[in-house]
Amino acid sequence: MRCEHLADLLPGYDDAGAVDQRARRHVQRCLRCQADLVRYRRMRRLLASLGAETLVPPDDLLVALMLDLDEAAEVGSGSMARRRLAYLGGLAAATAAGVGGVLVLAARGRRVAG
Amino acid sequence: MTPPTPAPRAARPPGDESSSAALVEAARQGDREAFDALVRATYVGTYTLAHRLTGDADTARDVVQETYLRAYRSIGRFRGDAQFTTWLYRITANCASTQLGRRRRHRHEELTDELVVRDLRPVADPPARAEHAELRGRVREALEGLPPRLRAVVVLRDLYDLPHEAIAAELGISVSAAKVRLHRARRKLRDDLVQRDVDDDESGGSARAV
Repeated sequence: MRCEHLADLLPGYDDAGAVDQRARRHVQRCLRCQADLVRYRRMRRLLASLGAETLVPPDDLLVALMLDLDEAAEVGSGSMARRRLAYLGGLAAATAAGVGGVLVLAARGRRVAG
Repeated sequence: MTPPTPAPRAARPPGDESSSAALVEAARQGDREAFDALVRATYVGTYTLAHRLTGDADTARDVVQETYLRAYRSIGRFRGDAQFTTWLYRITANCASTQLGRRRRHRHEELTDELVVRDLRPVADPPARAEHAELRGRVREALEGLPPRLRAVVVLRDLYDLPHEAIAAELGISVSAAKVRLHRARRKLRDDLVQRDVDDDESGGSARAV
């Protein structure tokens, strides 16, 4: 195995299962690859340390998030109210149609009887 | 860029997972105040991740807003088999991927922002702290110089420790593609840092990065 073949593997050398025994044996014997591996490891430690930083968000972000959530909650409850209104409207229309039908039938019945 | 300054609490949101478990459960049951408390505890970390993924403040803001709306709508389906923050990272990664996709379709110049960075790691020795801060600054710059597709995988894996499978799922790519991108990203970062060393040596600078 040559160093050039390891170039693509060294970035994942410490990831489980990324590098086979043959490649590991090469690295154990090769100072060039070992130096490269040290660089990668240092770099990954520094990257991990970046994960411990936070960036300061805009001052108004938290307020904007709360307003978004208020709106989402209102939309949620608004659609529920609309659904409830539509249901009640449908029920009222059906009741009115039923009552109307009964009245029409009663009026016809009176005309036939008269 | 403002240099990092110490701050008292842990950086990764929300820090104390055990104390947030009760809030998560209450939020799952529809308790809005509990959800608000989770937002307050996590939004700085979510913004940080969004900024790392997208590379600019405006897009990061959009990502954070979309993240919490999605989280609010789907908190009832959060099963609790992962940490709340991990679940939030995944939503953030997914929203950032969507935003970056939109940005690719409406390509415009990337913005560079004045970032205020808070370093939350206690370092006792001032000279060591200064050197470490300089090295981290170099890595941060190199990271910001990566193309967004490569930056996303290295941020999620090496900064936030997400598994390959989760990264692949949220970025909409296969696990093997995620691994390939990660290797490319690390290699590009290393090359960039080595080049910075060479440039520094040629210009007579003192610090060596990686």
